[in-house]
Amino acid sequence: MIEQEFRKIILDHQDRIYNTCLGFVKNPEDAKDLAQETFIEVYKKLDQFRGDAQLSTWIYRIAINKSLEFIRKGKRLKRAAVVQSLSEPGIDTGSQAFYHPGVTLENKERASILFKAIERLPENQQVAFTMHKVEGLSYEDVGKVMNKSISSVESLLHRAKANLKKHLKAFYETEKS
Amino acid sequence: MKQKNLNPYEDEVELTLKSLDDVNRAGAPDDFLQEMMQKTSFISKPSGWEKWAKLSIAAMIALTIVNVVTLSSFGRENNDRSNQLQLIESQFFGISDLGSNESIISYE
Repeated sequence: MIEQEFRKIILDHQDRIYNTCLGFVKNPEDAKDLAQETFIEVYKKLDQFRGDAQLSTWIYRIAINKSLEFIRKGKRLKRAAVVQSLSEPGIDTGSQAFYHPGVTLENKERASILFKAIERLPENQQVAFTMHKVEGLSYEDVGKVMNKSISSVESLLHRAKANLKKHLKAFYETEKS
Repeated sequence: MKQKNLNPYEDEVELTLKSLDDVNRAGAPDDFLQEMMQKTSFISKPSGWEKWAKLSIAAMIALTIVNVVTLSSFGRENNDRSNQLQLIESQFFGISDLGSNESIISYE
């Protein structure tokens, strides 16, 4: 691949991919590493890109897979270190709070709580919610990235919101009592 | 009469759910592109000439095998022909001196 071509791909996508990774892993350093790993894979596999999907959709998929793999590895390590109770209610307040740099000051604390609640969602709901809310993709674009219909995305987001409400309610009840 | 909210935290839950509604995209760090270009400069990508080199080596091996097979069958054919000559000679002269150092005609 010509260097200029690759440079253009990075410039066009670096913010979206970094923001996507940050939305999942909630740590700037890890997000940067994962975004870079994503572009390295793009560099290696661009010949295999068949053009069935848009380039950005393909790059998003790589970034999401890398981020989810990273989270799964982290969870495995955590599980090995501490045996957690399956019936543990509410949101985990033990880990460090994450403040997304794009959130307004007035929403900073609430968004941090919401990010914690998102962690408790099933993987596909987590992806749909993060891509829609944090990355700002339309239902249609989320569908393209997840290889799902618009109605499936709507249903996923509806279930995600219902689950989030449940987790947030439990969190506030525990916190205030 | 206004109905009392059954869940006192409902408003807070709603506000929290909407807290990401107007989020701005976080930009990649300033050194991102520079670091990326440095990292990818060390990756050797299989280029066209490597593929051709591999094909050439495979073709050379195939040609060598064909050569060996041809030469061995040619040697066998030669052997058969010399055996035939020996047979004809023995039928005509009653002897077979092919390969022998003895002279057939005596000049004495």
